[in-house]
Amino acid sequence: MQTLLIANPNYSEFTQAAWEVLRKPNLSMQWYIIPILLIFVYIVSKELSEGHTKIVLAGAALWLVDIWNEIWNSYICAVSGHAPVWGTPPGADINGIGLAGQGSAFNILIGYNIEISFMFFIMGIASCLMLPKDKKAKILGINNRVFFACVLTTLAVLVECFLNYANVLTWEWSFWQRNCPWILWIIGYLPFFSAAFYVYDRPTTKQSAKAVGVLGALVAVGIIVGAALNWL
Amino acid sequence: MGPEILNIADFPGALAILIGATVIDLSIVGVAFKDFLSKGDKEEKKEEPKE
Repeated sequence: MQTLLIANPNYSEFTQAAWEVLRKPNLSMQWYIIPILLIFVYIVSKELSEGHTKIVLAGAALWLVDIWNEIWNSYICAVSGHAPVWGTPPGADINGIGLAGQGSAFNILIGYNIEISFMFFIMGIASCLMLPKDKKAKILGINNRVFFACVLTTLAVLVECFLNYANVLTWEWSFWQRNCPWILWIIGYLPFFSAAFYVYDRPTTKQSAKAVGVLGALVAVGIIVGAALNWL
Repeated sequence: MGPEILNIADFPGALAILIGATVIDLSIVGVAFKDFLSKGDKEEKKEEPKE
């Protein structure tokens, strides 16, 4: 069954292309996503079996903060009537712009796909595995949580810039471009690692779960409001 | 030819959403960094008498 969502005629070409496959797995689903799902299940199961519940919760925290960003990105697309801050259109040649690859197996939101979803959960887990056990340890005179949040944010922004350069991640707003990546650094990635490390550092698993619950509530409100206003 | 680059100032509704989202994102960073840094301060203060 085709989606009932109707694209705005003022949408940019990238946005129109993304809309055409938005939440239409019958147009985009690919087999590779199944082994990725199993790799994800393996990683989470392994951490849980070793008693690292807080690491999995930290992964969930990073994943949820990204979903929050993906939600407001969809809002901006709907409210502006032109384009999201970042988009993940399918790999198709649009008026000679020449997008790379074949796009995602499943586009969940206008700038969010199933590959990004798995990636961010795993990123949250991986980033916490890098952390020193000593929360107060300093690296180059800086608190190690702050150090790793800043370093990993910088590396992630560099990867994003490459994805944009490769035309698989489209940026159509002047404040969100490769020549001014500092906004991307501050609100695009720093909150992700900050949330993950904060959840990981809670004294008890219950407190970690509670922090994840707060982020989950934020996302739930975002989804409910977005769905009610047809902004997703 | 690439896509048209949009200016957020031309879209007040989108700008309002961006500002609201930024406030929430920075709040997350603020809460976390306060925790990261205050823990260090507290522990350093505890260690001071030993020295």
